[in-house]
Amino acid sequence: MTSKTLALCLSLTLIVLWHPSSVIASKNTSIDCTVAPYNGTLFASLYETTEETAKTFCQAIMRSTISQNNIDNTHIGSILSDFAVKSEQALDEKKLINSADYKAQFKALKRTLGNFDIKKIMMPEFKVKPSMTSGAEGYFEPLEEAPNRFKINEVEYCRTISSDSNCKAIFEDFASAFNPYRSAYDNVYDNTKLLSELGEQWDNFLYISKSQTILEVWLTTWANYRHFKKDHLVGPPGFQVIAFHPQLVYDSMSNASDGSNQELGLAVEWIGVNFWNLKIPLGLSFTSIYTDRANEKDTGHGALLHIYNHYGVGWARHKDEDSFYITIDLLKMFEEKKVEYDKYAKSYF
Amino acid sequence: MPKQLIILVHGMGTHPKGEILREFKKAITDRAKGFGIADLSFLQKVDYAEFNYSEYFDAIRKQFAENAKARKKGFGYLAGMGFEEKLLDQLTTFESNFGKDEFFYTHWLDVILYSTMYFGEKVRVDFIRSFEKLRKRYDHKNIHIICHSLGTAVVHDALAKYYRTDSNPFDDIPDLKTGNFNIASLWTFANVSRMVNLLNGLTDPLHSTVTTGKDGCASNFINIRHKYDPFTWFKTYDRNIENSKTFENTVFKKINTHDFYEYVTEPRVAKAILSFIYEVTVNDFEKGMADYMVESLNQEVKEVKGLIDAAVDDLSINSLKAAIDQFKIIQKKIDELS
Repeated sequence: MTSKTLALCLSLTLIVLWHPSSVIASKNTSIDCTVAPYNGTLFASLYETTEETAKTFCQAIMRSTISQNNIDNTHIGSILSDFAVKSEQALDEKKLINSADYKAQFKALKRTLGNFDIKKIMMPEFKVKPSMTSGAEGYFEPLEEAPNRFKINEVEYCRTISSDSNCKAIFEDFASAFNPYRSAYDNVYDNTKLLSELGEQWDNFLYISKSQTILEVWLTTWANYRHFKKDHLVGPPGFQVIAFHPQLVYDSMSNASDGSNQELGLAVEWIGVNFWNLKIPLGLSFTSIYTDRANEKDTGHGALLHIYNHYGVGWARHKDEDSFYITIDLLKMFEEKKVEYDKYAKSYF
Repeated sequence: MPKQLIILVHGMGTHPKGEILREFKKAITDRAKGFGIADLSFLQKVDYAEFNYSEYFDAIRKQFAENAKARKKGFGYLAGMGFEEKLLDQLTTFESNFGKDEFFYTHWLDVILYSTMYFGEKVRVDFIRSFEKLRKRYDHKNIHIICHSLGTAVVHDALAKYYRTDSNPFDDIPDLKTGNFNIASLWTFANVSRMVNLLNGLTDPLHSTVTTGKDGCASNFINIRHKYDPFTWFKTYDRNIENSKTFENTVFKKINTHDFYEYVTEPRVAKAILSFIYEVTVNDFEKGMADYMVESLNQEVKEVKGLIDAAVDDLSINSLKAAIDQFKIIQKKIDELS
């Protein structure tokens, strides 16, 4: 009888190993080649070059989804490097060198784009931001080796380019024409769906998994240390540790000599594990139970099987007699007429 | 063109939604006035968002307390049935205290829940989900993150997991490639990320991707600490980063040197925020500085300063336990003065 019960518990625990949370859709299956719009007026010609470059680059990204080895890095690098040259020319044509010395930044940009490598991709953006000291500064980011950011000086000359703009606004106009070259790259990095799935996994875990004491939460975290220590965001733990978990139980001993067949009792789950996210969630713990019967041994030892995270059925050996018990929340399922217990179960879970 | 966005992340303790935003705006407004800036319309030039994890932690604490109380009630049915009542009580007492509004349960328990339990990862996921939605709307280049105390650890750990050097856009890991999506700036006030890192064992803040440039997540990094803030002298955050700035305050305005409002109103810090995020020129910095110094408590707190100076110089304080012991002595002195 004893061995059969244990075997049943163990086999049920091992039957279902399918783990829904491990199934996650991949980040992106299609590439959106839409090029971000240009919001300025002064660099319309450069934006045409940007659009062409963006399309070529998008095709390269598409090919890379099949195999990164298919990509001719040198070819892409030369296209991007040409684009950097044309971008600098666009600023030169406007004689913006009168406002800022951007030469070193462009030199670094050409080097970075020229050394294009799909496996270590770097897609510099042009940024215009206030300086920590005073005025504004311009720079490309990221660069392989970044020179100092260039200071944008507000000079009267900029009024000759655009009467209603200052130098900073002209560089912002340039940024709007330049940056869309990497639109496909920006589009491909849409993590909304993956993050939403991750969030749902956590919500699901906190909603349906077995209620834990703070000690059990700590032990579960510790037992899943490698999982949480990963260098990227992860979902909830695959299993929960059960430890020193007290339970109020309803115990049944059919052979109780004094007629006290059914008794309330206290069960303490010493150690166990609960696989909360299996198709049929199952858990098992080694448990001792204490009931107060006049002619039987009060303490019994055995196992408690958890089903669907909230329900538990256990067996204990009291010297010569077996007893079987259910956790109080099971009483609720069986619609026992014990209103107070029902309330308790409700507030617990 | 999208507006600039400030994302605020609070520290330990109970913070109702909107509190840190009100505190931040008040601090900036007060200091701007101190600088003689009359037109405060610049505050509307920027949008604001807040990441609040306090309410989640409060809910967890209360849930633990409620579960324990329910268990206690259940075990009550066993009383008089041969069960030791004291034992039954002890099984639930610890957790049933979690609902109390005591400093340990509302502050330090937050640190424990975040650093040593899986709730920390849930908070990081929630922060990044919120960040990603805002990034889509505002573009990373226009986002400034301002965080305080435990919030610096939350933001650090979340960004360190989200910005990855070997990110691949086609795998099933939600992440961003370092360097390519850098936010405009990251401001860490009372940075405790290294201290929390001792407990959670995630990436070391001195070597993580929470830095600037091609291996980082931000274009600019500003770290602000108070020399006499007990939370920052142990495992002080001190990383050499390009395009970064460190402000260290030594002036006591309030006995609680960890206070977020006090941090923001320090004139050099407020000036940096005004000019870098709001693009407001501060012309009368000296006046603001003089006003700021008038109400300082430097004389009254000499003893606390001495205790902290000694603790900072004490090379034997290299463990968390030693630091906590020293912290208790200093906290006692601070409480006496409060």
